Amino acid sequence: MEQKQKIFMIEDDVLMLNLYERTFKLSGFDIEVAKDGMEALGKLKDIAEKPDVIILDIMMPKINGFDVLKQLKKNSGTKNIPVVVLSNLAHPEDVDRVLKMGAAMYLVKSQHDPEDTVKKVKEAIENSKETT
Amino acid sequence: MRLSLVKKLVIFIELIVIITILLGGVITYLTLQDALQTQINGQLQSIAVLKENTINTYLKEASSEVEYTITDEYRREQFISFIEGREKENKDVLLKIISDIASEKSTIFELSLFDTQGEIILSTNKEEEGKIKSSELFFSRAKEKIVIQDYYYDLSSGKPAMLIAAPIKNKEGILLGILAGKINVDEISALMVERSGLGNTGETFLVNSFNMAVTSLLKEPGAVFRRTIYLPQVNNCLRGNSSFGKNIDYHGDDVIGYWHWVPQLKSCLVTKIDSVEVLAPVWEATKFFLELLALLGLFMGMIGYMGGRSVIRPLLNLRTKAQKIENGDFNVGEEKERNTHDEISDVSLAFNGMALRLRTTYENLEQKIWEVKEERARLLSSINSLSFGFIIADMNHRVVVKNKAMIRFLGIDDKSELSVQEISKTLGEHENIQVQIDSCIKSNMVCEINEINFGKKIFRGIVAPITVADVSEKNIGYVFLLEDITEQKVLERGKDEFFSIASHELRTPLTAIRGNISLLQKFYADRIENKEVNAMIADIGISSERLIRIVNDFLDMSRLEQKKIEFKKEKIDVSQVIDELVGELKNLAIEKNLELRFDRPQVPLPLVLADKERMKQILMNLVGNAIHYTPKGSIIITASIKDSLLKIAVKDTGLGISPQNQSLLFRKFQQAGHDSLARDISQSTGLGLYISRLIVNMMGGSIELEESTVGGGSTFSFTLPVLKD
Repeated sequence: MEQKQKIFMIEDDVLMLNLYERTFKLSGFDIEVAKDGMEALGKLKDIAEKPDVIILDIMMPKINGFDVLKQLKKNSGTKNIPVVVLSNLAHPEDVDRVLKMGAAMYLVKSQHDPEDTVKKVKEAIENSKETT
Repeated sequence: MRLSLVKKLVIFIELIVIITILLGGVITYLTLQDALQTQINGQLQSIAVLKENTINTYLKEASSEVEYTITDEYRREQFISFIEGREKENKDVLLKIISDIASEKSTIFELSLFDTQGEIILSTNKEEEGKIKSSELFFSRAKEKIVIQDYYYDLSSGKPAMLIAAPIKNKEGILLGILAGKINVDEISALMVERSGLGNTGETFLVNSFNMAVTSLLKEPGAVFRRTIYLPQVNNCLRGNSSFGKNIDYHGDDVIGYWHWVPQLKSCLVTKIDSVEVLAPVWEATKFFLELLALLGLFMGMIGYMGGRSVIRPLLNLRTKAQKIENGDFNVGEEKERNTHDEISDVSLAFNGMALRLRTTYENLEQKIWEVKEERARLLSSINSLSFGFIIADMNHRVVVKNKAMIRFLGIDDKSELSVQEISKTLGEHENIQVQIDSCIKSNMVCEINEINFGKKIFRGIVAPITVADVSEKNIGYVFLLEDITEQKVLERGKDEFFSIASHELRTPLTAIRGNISLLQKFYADRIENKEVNAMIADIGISSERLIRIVNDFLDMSRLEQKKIEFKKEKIDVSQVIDELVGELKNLAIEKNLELRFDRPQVPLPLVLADKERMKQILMNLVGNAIHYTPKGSIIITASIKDSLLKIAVKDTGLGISPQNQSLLFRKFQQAGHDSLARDISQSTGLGLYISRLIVNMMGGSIELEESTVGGGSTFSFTLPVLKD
């Protein structure tokens, strides 16, 4: 059997978290979650199996998404993992900033329902695999 | 140096008088002098000639005596026999003869007889006998004829004398001897000294051929036979030229004289009189003139002064009036004035008229100024009552007018002189306000300076240049308004916050509902056997979808209204987009058994610069509506170019819209549904067309219902600007 692709998702809203977890699982992914940036960075540091993609929201408590992204791209362990930013912020400046910081993709939540998001994430993994 | 007119007049008159009289005086003087001189010359000459004649007569007498003596037979015989024999008897007779001749009373006072050798053989003066005088000038000359020699000083007699000598010849004409005598010149001398007709300073005297003065000199009494006179006039006279003249005499005085050559005496008879004495009358005349001058001068001065004053008085009056006007008092010309009926009165009258005019103009001006001031006060009070800050500045950025609101806003001093730069600084240097103001003025347009943060307040600035609408269209200044938009902004920000929160908070649960339902329907359908449960799940799904659409529409609309949306600018191939859309909605149309197609234009369409998603949104709205309100038939999409706009039209064969409803179309929350049909509210929030219009307007185009008839279908169209190359 093909190895399942692993998602690591950081999302603070429990409803959303549950929904995405279910969606990805039902779509055939392994998924690990974290409720905030601190937890995420902590988990990722010690993680045994690196995820194929990290899904990150920008608007979060404690540390905001930009800082998390920065950290992710700094850490040698995580910097090569593609990051898909999933957020409700839709300003082009934010998109630019995120992409410049090294995110692989920016998805606006209101424009992509969960199933669509899964498709996009698949794309992102494929793209990153191509470049490496 | 300032001189009054009268003084000038007087001076002028005096000058004329003086010059005239001086001229007259000089001319008179010269003329008189000339006349006098001529007269005197005449007098002098007659005196001289008279004296000469007298002298000649006197000398003639002497010479006659001598002549008689040498021509008388008897006497000659006696002379001859004595000269030849030298007999004593002869001698005594001869002595008597010559003594008779040379008596005290006669003109000859000493007579001597010379032999041919020049020895005096007989004389009335015993001492002379035996002397030889052959070398003397007279001797040789007397051998021929009677000779008279001019004045000389006779030592033996101690007085001046003249010599007369005659030859004694025998019958045969042979010279035997010379008879010489001394002429007594006392009379001549006395004659010369005689001064009648010569005034006080005049005199006559004789100067002999040796330039010796031989008669008394009035001014040098003891000078006879001691003084030589070598004056040019004298020398000239001794050369035989008689002349008149005005010269310096032997005494250094200026004299008028006549120098007369007297051949018999071989002397110059000088007749002269001091110039001063001659010209005395002239001086008298001159003195007279000077006195006349003084008197006249005084008189003329007085006349000039009085006359001048009377002429000048009206001028002085005029001057007073002018000075009054100069000092701002225009009330002139109202006193009674004497009319002098000359040019000055004319000026004075004109002046009065002018003063009146000035007064009237001044009063009118004052009135006007007062009106203007009133107007200005009104204006200023209106400006002050404005709620927003108002400033008028000149082109040097100096504040000319500022109102109360501005003072309050900026918290500045009312009295101080202010510059716009200071205001900009007060509002905040980092705000670059001055830069914006400057560029605004340069561009000569009205412009806005948005969101000036000043402490707790937020202002909006407006700069409007003020132009003078004449030939030059020059800016004379600008208006700077400051509007307090703090509340407005707070409200806006509040709204923004609300919407962002609302959007986030609403969306999350809605997404959760829809997402989970979707998962259920997709992956757990087999677990739900109960149809009712499935149906309920389906309804929940539809509801959540609708809710999501409603929320999205609302948020979209509010963001569009607030102009918070940013449109992407992409070069769009419209045909391609329409194709995409047709593809997406094809199934829906098929479900309703409707034909949906795009009638491609023959000529390829130009590109459009617009936001692709948004364009699709509009199309989706129109086509969606068309599908919804068309029970059967077709929906045809077309695209064409009109002017520089690309028009996309959606034509359906649907229900159509009644005229009343047509007016409600693009409004919020209206559904242009047919009245008889139950409103199908399954799809629409009533915001679709409203939002479409907002979007298309913001992209530079327009949207409209082209035509619609109830039961005949509708055609909606919208335009977008074509991309210019």
